[in-house]
Amino acid sequence: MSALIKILRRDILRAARSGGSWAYGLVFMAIFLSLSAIAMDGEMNALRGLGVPLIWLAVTFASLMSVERVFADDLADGTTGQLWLSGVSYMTQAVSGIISFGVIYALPLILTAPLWSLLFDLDSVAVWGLLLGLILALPGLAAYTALAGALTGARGKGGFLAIVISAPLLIPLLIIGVAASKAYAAQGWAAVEFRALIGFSLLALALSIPASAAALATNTDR
Amino acid sequence: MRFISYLANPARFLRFSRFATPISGWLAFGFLGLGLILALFISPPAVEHGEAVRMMYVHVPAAWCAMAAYAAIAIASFVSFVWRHNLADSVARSLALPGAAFTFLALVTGSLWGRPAWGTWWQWDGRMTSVLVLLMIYISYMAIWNIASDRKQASRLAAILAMVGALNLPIIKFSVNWWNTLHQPATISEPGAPGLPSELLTPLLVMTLGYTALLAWFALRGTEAELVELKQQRAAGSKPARVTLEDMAS
Repeated sequence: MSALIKILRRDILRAARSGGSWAYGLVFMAIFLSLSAIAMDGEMNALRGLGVPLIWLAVTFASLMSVERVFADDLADGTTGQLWLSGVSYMTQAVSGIISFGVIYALPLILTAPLWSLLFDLDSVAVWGLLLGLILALPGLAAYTALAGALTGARGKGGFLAIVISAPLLIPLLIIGVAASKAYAAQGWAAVEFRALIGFSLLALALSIPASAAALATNTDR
Repeated sequence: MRFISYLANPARFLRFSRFATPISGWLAFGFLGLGLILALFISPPAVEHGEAVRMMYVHVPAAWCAMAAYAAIAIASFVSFVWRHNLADSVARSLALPGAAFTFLALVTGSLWGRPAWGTWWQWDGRMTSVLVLLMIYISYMAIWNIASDRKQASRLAAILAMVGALNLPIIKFSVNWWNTLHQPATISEPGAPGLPSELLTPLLVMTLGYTALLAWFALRGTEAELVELKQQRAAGSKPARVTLEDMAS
């Protein structure tokens, strides 16, 4: 457990010192969302209906953009193998990668969702639904992107391939997540979509932790 | 099981495939030819669909073979991941391209059939979306083979991805089924399903046998080619280095 916390502290410290590389996703999101609103000719009536799915898409794409940052540095300089030699299992490293990706790269995207919803003139119920759906999808999102990062490893050209790999896996989360965000307005917290979303997130974690651990082991030739 | 462990030896596999490959190739040729004649000229048009029902004879076997190929890839990947067997990932790798091609064929013929039957080329229906996702998984599976230059590493990474994809397919299937549905449910395989009259069922089954034999031919042929390539690589790598030490003329 203490190894996990130490790795997480190191990751957060490194992100804080990196000169804002954790915020690239936010910049991408701002550009993507404002371009979409401009492409729709600023029609508020049309944008109001598109706001929730567009913000969901932006969060998904923006987290895919940071895939390379999850395990690539550690794999490139041999830290992953060194940690394994000093008794930190690949399973622990996979869990720490998923958590630090979720906290450093995905959480800022989700917490700023209310700000982006201003661009689409969403009402407060829609914003709450959006926020709750995104927070419940966060574990699944982090799990699949970390898996793609572990599979592509430190190969430089990993970015595009990671998107190709994780896109089909993220589809169920996207479908149920958008449905949950929309169901919140009618049925509130009790909507069945929220339970399905939690289930999908947990399944994603259960699949990705051993799979990422196996991929890390392969990428360090074990 | 004993048959599979018999084939696990590459030399014995090559001895088996020397006659199995041409047999499956000719079977595919014969069944597809016979099936096309049955499907295009002999079978009657269906009541609701008219002549467009002939699309079924290329569409349904393609979809079945696409799923069968992925199931085979997943099983072969499991074998290669657990027992680290070269032959298993050669089989998985050589099934990927025909599987993707069958998936694409199922999507295209489905779209062509959807136009007369439903009045639309494409609909975001559960069945179509999940087959589209299957095609995306095939593409990512083929792409990941090329990222690692080391074959052992690439095969393990591809096996992990294939297994995760296999576990995800039912999840994707259910999620899109709750989402939208237009495609007709299973007609033949489930008990209590309406079934097909025999003059439509016979060409369908003949075509399915032809498609399956074609898939087997692709898998056997691809595996043979992989084995030859591996042998050549090994032969190239194992030439001993020669160093000659000579006294310098002083």
